Amino acid sequence: MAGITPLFDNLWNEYILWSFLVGGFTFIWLYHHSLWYRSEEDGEWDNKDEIEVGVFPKEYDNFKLEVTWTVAPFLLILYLALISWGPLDAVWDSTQAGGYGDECEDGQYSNLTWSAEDGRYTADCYHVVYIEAYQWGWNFDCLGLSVPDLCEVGTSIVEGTPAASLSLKQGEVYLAVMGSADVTHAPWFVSWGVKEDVLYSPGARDNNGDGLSDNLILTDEGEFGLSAPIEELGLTSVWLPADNVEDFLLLCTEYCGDNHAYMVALINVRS
Amino acid sequence: MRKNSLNRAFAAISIVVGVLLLSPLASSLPTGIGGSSIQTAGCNCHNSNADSTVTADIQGFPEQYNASETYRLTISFDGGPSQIGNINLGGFNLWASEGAFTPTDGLTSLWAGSVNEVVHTEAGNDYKSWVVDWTAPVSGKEVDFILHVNSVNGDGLQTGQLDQWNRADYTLQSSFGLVGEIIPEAPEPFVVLATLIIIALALIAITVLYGFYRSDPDGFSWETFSPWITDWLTTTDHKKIGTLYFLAGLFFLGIGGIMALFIRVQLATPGNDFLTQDQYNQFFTLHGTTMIFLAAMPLINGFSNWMVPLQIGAPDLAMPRLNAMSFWLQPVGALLIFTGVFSGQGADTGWTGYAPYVVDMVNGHDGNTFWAAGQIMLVASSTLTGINFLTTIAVMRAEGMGWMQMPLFTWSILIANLMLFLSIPAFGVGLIQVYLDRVVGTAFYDVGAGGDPLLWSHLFWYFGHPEVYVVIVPAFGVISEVLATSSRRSIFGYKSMVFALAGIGVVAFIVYGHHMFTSGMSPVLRFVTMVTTMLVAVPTGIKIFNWLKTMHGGSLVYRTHTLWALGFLVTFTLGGISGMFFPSIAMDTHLHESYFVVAHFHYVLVGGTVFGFFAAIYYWYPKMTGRMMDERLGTLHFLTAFISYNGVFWPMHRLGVWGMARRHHTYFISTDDFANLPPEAADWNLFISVSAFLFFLSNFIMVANMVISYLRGAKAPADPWGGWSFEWMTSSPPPTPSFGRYVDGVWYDLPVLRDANEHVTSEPGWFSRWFSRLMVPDDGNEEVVH
Repeated sequence: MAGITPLFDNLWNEYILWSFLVGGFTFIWLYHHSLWYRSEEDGEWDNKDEIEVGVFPKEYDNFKLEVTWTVAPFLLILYLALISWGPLDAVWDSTQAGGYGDECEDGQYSNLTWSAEDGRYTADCYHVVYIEAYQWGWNFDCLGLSVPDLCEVGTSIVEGTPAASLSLKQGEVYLAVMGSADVTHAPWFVSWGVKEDVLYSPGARDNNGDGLSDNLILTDEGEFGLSAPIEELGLTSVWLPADNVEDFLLLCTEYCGDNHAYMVALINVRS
Repeated sequence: MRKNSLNRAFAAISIVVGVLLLSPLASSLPTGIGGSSIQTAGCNCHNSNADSTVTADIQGFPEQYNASETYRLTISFDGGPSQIGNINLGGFNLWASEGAFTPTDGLTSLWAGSVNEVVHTEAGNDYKSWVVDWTAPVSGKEVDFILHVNSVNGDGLQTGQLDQWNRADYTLQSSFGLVGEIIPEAPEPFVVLATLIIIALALIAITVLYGFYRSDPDGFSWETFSPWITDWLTTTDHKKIGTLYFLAGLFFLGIGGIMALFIRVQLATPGNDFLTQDQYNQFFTLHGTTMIFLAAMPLINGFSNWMVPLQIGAPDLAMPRLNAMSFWLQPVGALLIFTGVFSGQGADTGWTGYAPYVVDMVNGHDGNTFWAAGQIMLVASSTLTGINFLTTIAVMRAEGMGWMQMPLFTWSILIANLMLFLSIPAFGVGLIQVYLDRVVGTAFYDVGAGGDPLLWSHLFWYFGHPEVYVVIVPAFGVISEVLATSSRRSIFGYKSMVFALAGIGVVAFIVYGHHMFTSGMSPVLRFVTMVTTMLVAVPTGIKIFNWLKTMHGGSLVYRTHTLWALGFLVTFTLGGISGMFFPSIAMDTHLHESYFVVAHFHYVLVGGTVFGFFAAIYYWYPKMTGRMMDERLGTLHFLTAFISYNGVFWPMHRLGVWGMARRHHTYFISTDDFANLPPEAADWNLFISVSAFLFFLSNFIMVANMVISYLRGAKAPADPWGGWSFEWMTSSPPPTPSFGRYVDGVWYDLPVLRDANEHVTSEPGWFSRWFSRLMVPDDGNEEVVH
């Protein structure tokens, strides 16, 4: 079963509570009126609104009541918008949000922590990994993080079919920058409750024939790095908070053709 | 007169046949003229044209492939300038429509990471023969291979004997099983679908013929049938066109339902192979397209054609011929959309048709072209319908009926058509761009050429979200009519109901961004869209509370339409509540594209729109046919359908939270190696599939009820339920013209609305005065405004 982040859980519980309150109020009212005011004898009733064919009937209204059930849902919406506003930072794909600091220096760790008060993650810094989508599979690259054991890519078998795997370290937070070699895809990191579209990036193909995606270059240290800033490469990004040790599937959730359902990868978080 | 009608019929049929004959030509340019890949342009970097002296070859193909089996292929060429001693010898590019290549050594590699295209590497340039593995697909469909080889002179320049290249094509069939094993041939799902469509059409034809026969058994002959059917096919009467819309909508509701059953059989168990991925993708695409555009919209138009002129006291719509044209565009559009399916390459994009996949000429189906062409027809139809209804409601209301005395169903049709009229041009523009990209080779959505796929998302959802309200708002109108009449009360808060409808119409245009929360949208826009989306709950909440208050102090008569209206209140409220989870972005990033979404929009579109239509059918059937429906069968229909419906869609909420993605051919149950869905997800999916069959079958009770009641039902009085609006003033069924007499260019005896509220009739309101200023004065036919 997919575990959902505390961020999701907090909001979910609050929304479920209000759903029960609003739904319960409405259904009790409906149940009561539909039984209490049912017709005892078909054909006999007090025509208090003077209903007659061809005549617009007497209006039946109550200004105070109508204002009440205009204002009350509006106030509830303001409250729900408020509690949904705070966690926005945590799901922003912008590095400007500040919750995860700047990109980690060599040898620096994220120290991912979770606040029980607001259900949000914070970290000292983040690492960058590269994800490339194509019809119908995923390529991962650790961008030099494999040396301090922060990231590893490989291949796993998912129900008899080879699938790429990405292994991350518990307690670290990663910014995945993503490009597609063809149509739009969207990785769903089910256990973290996040997904983001991966748009076509011309550099996600090996146009110069060096055996590498053009978005990547070989650095002087013999590691792979991004060939230009994220914005220039047309990449999208998503935060990956590796909080618990687990293995879960990454699914594609933007329809992309025949093998869309089998465009899976394995995400492994190890201690 | 009859000759003219026949001529019109022949002309119309000739146009339809001509369109059908010409349409397949669209696939003669499946790649357009702008393709630059090797498949379309060849190895033109080595020479401009192919050369027959170079021969390409692949060894290792089986006679028929087995699903998922891997075959080792040897690719080679002969001829051309290539010879030992050259710096380089040659290269190749091999593309397969299905399956996956795996390079076996450093001489070959996948092209741009795509598993269905393999090429030589730089090291492989020194060879004339290469070896790759090809793993067959699981789908079992025919696989096309295109091989290009080039023979080079090795100087890297176009000097001396020029480089030459050639192409070879192969097609590989799948086997149905292992050699010697006798496996019965599985029924082809599309053949089953086609058979069911033909059976449904035959049953409709038989029912129509039988109905005609029963109307006058002694006079049944071709001489009497021919003018009767010609009259129906060429009619401009709003009631007959309404009936045609209604029958077409019900027919496609059934077809869409059959496709839903195929989907549910596939998902009944994990890893099922009832449908191939390819078929599954086409089924869910056509299910969505059919239900929204070919079922819901025609059903709305059916009811609005029938009831709007009757409710406002008009003899017909303002432009009856335009109305007929709007209808006949729909079956033509439907034929185009389905043409792709029966050519084996149906649209496979989902009803949202996201770019750039929709213009993908390599993996996307040719049927996407037909899908776009058919949708353009439907856009034209909806635009003409919008013009007609807006005009009719604005200028043909009966004397005494101001804007604020219109029945709420008419208000709902006015708001729905305003929304449609303002939103559907964007969709039309997007469709034309897609069509041009696919057929002519333009590059609106080709990112490599500077196109922008997000443009499609904006154009589609600018239309797509209001479209959801376009199909639910008329149901609001129906429920307002039914609940008030059944409670034998005036609707509570008539004015706030009108303003809430208008509010929904306005807010509908500023919320569509919530469909794009995960598309890399700006964080600021995400927040703004979150708030505007939540705002929809305010006017919707007003409507629900007003409906409940309408029953207060009333005398609720339980009829079948009352049951459906009460059922609507339950399911639509649940759908509205689940909709509040999506604007909250931290939850949306998980729930987006999951089965939680599928559950939500089916609670709104089935529990809301379809239940509203069911209420409308039981409510207005006596008016339309002059016969009462059977209440016992109606109650049985409600109980079986309401229970099985909730069995289908309620568990989907949980599946979505667990992580079951929509538009997926299968789902994964957690194993020792990875976590995905819990084992009970498979049980729930089976439960949903069984419930889906029950829900589908339960609706035949209503169809049987309609047929039986039409033939044997009790005669309906003019006002069987005690309603106040004009449709209950005329006979059941109404005469033609519906009201009044037309003598020498002047209408006589049109109805006049009286008002039980004295204060309302004294002065026109500010809205009436403002709208009147927009109207073109017509001295000969002065508009009545009160």
